[in-house]
Amino acid sequence: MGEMSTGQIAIVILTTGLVIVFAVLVLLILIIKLYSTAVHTAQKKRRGTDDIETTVASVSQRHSLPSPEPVSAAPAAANDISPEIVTAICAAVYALYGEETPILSVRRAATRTGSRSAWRQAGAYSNTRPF
Amino acid sequence: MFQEFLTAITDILKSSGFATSDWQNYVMIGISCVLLYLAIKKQFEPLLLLPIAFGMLLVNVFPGIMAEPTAQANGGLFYYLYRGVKLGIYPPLIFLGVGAMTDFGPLIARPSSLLLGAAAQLGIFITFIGALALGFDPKAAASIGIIGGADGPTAIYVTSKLKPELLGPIAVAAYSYMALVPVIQPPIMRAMTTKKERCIVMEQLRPVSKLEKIMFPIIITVLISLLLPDATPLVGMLMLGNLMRESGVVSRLSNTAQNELMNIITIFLGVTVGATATGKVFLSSQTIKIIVMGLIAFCIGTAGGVLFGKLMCKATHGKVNPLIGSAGVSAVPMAARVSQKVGQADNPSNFLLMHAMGPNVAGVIGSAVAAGVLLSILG
Repeated sequence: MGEMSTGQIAIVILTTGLVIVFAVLVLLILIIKLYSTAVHTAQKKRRGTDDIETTVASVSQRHSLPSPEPVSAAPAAANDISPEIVTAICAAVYALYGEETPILSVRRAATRTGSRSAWRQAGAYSNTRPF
Repeated sequence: MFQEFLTAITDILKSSGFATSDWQNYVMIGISCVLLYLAIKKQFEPLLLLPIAFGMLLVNVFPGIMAEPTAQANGGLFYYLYRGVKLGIYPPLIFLGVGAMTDFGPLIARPSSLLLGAAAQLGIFITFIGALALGFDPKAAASIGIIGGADGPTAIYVTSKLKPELLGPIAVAAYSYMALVPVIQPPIMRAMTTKKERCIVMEQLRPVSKLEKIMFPIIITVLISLLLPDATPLVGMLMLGNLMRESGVVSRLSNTAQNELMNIITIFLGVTVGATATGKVFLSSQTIKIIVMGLIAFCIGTAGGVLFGKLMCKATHGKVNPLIGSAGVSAVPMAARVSQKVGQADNPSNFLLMHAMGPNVAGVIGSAVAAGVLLSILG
């Protein structure tokens, strides 16, 4: 570096820096996609095996037990919670946890008197925590 | 006896700060008060700007607080605390806490976000050229350019290794611009995108499994450390924090990293970095150049990310909203919130926050890689 002119140093750092940063991150993309696919495939296969076992078990059960009542699709909700709010909560849980988490009921959390609501506390914490 | 009393008073006055300070110290005291006002009243990154400003105040009222030890006396308080900065200890520990607080799920769900994180580092290298043109030497130019990564710990780490004399102005510039992200970015984002592009609604991200989130930090650490060993302290600690979070088996350690450790290191880092801002270093034309170049670095980084976002939008036939490109600067999570806000201004039902978090956290990795490149070439 000592023998090069300022212009040469500038060109070398610019090209080397951008090329290396992009190359490393492109390599990371490929590796993330590779291992994500591998994990996804392995988990899908395992879920497939579990599903087959569950189906076999339920078929053998059906022969011995009367058929159960159909499960209600909508979770039981408290009377004062509107269907739109229940729908929004269900969508949020699905987005976070996927299909594996069924929602059985929705009810209001206990309200505290004389203190900040949970949302306000979460907002205050989020805005004041260090970074 | 009266004479001795007068002599004692005179000696005390002669050793006081009023006798030993010069005009530069008083100007710096004024500047530190302005920064304290910005931190407390305007809430400009107060968690770091407040300790930085107070460290600046302390060193200018009592320069001995940073004094080196001599044969006759110990060094000042901040001299010993500053060892953590000089030896490159504090920034990696900050990254440990950052990793423990970060969810890399949106990045794993859409790995192409890493490209946006890479594009946003354009500001670092373009500013490097500009700083060279202004007469800075390569190490100083690299320290100034790294402000464009919008990553405080990375900027401090690189500067402490390459040009520690410029730590004060660079740290103040870096954290001030990070606080100004909601002001600096939106005009650039609006100027570089059309309304149609800003209104693009992106597909929901796929769910990411726990195993993927656990493997991610291990793979990233191994890969980047082998390719760029100089980036290992930063990337390694970032990924260690993340692994502690995602593994779920060391919640005590994860909580400590996110809270107590971060707070302690933030205090030590802030006051000691601020204490490097003496009048001699800060009150020079060099500082004004650093502040201007830092702003340019930020703007170019934002523009680079948005431009690459537009490229990805074209390549995916309109599936990617270019606004998330600006989140490739690593000011987490402010830059992602800015993308959300600007997108919602044109399309109120557009929720870009989680889509923008991918490039945002990718920018943290990207700026650490860029730092590793600069350190390996110039260190």
